[in-house]
Amino acid sequence: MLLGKGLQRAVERCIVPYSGSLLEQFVDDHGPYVIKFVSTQWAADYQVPSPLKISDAPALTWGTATYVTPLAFPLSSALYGRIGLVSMFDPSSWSIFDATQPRSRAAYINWARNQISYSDLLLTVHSTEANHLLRNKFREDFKIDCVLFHPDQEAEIHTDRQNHVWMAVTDWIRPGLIRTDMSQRLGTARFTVLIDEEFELGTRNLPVQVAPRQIERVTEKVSTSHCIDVSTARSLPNLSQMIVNLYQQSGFLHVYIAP
Amino acid sequence: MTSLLHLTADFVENMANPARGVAANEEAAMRFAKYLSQEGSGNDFLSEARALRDPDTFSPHGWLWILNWTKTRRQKMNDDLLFDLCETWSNVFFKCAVLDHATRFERVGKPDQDPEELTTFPHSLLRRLLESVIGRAADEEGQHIRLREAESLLVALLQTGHDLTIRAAAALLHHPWAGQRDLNRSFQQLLDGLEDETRDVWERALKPPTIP
Repeated sequence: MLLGKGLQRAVERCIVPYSGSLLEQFVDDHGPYVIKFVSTQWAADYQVPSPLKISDAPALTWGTATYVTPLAFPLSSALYGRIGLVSMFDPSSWSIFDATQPRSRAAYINWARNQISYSDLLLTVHSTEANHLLRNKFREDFKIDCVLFHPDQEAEIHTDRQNHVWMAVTDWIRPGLIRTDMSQRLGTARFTVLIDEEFELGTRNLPVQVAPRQIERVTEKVSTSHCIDVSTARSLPNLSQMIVNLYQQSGFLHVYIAP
Repeated sequence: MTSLLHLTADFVENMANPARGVAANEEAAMRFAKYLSQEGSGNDFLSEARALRDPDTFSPHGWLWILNWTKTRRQKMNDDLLFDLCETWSNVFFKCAVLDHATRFERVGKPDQDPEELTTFPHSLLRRLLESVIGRAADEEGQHIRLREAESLLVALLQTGHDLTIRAAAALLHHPWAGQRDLNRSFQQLLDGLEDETRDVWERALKPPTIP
């Protein structure tokens, strides 16, 4: 690693073992579980415990990793889908870079500023890919197993950017080379949560900062409503009448999937 | 392009092009991972990728994905293709991805001399790239283009940061050619942007020549 000792030590001081880390507090309080929300089309693939997909799209906060939320913040990342996949994990041997701390973020920025390509990062058009490569290099060079960070995108009401913590978990092909396919570390994900909400993630493919709720914003303004589970609804002879009544009262019918 | 790659080119673009949006990238990546997890599919795709020769097969975004995916499977792509990719796209970070792919697992014996001679550099792809940028230019404009290409390759070699690429960068800085003085001046400007300790580390590693 071609880096001054001072800069190197500044980063290393921000990498802590799991024991004593912020993550340990979440695990102690809520168990060794994480949650990841995905779109409904993947529900069937996770009926049985299966590995989560490692995200390797360029526009990700900390590079190629599996992005999950400790179960301490169960609905924090609900903006990414209706289906919550829960996986166990064992972080006991992990090295953790806690980017919720300002000094850690400063250490990363100083590291990036002292990359030989820094001016190209700032002055050329492909900054998304450039940042992606630099973030991966940083995590590879310092063998970081997990980055903790505050969300940089939020679901209205569900996400607290100041206090919630998300995780970018690294899987290694071997030390210093990030895996890109399926996570072995988060390998027991199962469909566990179904949430009745949708969020608008982006406008013209640009991520929105705060994703508004699409459903509850409307339902909370309606005073009359009725709930019915979907299997009952299918066989209900007077379902049409029930809908007409709610229509005439400016109400709505919530047909839900019973557990 | 083979039929399999023809079918997957759009998929790869959906996975890798940030302009399609993260949601589209993620969905395509999930679908593709599902395909690759099927019996034999990963190996089929790997052997198709191994046969690639044409830089126009994918966009730069697609190539970044392919280069990284094959790298994680320790499958090196064809040298002619890697050379053409570096020649086709000038972006430093794209070159870094190509160089990382090409040299991550390469082991070449310790140099006989320090700095090494560019024309006998022991890694054939790096040697070709080095020779390409110092090639003789027909006129002043051509010389200017050569220098820009040399600067871009130099930054990519340094940023990639493997032992081999650092050695190649040192060979480039020491090689006498029309653009040597300007290239070394650019290198000094890069170092000027670094904090002192890191600058010293680079200077010790590269031992740049003193050009009067």
